[in-house]
Amino acid sequence: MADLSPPAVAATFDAVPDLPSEVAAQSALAQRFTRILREHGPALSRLAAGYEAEAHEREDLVQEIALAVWRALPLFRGECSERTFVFRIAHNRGLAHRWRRRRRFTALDDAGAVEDPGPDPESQAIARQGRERLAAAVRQLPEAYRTVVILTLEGLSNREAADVLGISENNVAVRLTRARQRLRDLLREPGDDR
Amino acid sequence: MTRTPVNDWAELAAEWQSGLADPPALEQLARRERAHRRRLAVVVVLEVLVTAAAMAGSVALVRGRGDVVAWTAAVAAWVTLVAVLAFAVWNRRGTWRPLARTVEGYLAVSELRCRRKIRTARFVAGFVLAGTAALTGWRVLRLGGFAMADGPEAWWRLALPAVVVLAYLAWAVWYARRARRELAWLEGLRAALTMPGL
Repeated sequence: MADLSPPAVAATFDAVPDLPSEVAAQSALAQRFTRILREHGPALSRLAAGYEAEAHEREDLVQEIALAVWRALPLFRGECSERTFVFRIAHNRGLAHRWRRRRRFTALDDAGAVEDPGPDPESQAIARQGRERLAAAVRQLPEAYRTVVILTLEGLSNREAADVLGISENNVAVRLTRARQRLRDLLREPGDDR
Repeated sequence: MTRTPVNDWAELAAEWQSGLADPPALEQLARRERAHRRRLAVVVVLEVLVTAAAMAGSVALVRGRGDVVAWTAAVAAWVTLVAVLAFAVWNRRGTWRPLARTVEGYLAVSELRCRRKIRTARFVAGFVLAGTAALTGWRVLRLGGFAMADGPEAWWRLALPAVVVLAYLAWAVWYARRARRELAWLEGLRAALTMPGL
């Protein structure tokens, strides 16, 4: 398990403050970043799965998101909740990633559920399959639906999702209703009752 | 094979959130951050070196020769530096793209950056063409036309600048096209995001 203690984080990022006040500030920043990674790291990984099918590119995207959070953290003045702050950065990074990888997305998304090899030999294959199938279905949603669905699946309320996206709560509700139907259609297996 | 719950959103959310994942490895993050800072430092150093070389070269040219040609070249170099710097500062106003903006706000700034990229391409193309026209006119007025001595060296004096000008123009066209493609994608995405029911 990586050492996420504040001194380790600060040292790892080459924090070399000159003044005592800077030492305190850097330590506080490192503490905050550590806590954010612990609290939201799994959510960031899941969000990345909604934007990227390939495991190695997904890991790359998660790192990009984490670094973006690190760089934006000194400027965060509490204009929104910390979760909103992190999710905004994550979705913005996800969109930038989609643009860079746009030529490859059609082929990957059309492939449907992509089996994630996963490093854990003990993980339950069936549960993993279900999650990957869900993630693959999310990736096939139009961009505007995908962002709303991911935020809602992560447990954000319509209001919180609207805050992340910068749109009205009503817009989120309308979009979510249509997105759910589209997602159901993508996940429905032959023979399922309607 | 498990059947992903379709009709219960809470179950769907539980399945989504059941994915276990460790936080990103800190060492890898730090390596990437250090590499990013090194790249930025290299770009800054290169820009400073090129600028310093142009300034020093123009001063040396004036001191060494002191004739009209040297002064013209020096003034042209300084005008180019000032114009490029002024344009860069002016063109980047308001395009800082903090990732912590709302998604809609981030898309809006991204669109603005694309428009500024298109403006950059136009500036480069226009500046290169204007510079070429100015140098051509100066050569005609000062040296009485395009009469050149015979030999391969004389052709290089004409061909090399022409190649440089064409390369800049080709880059400007490619850069503008790429920015337009990205702008179209962003505009479509932002419209889809902000208009309910799409």
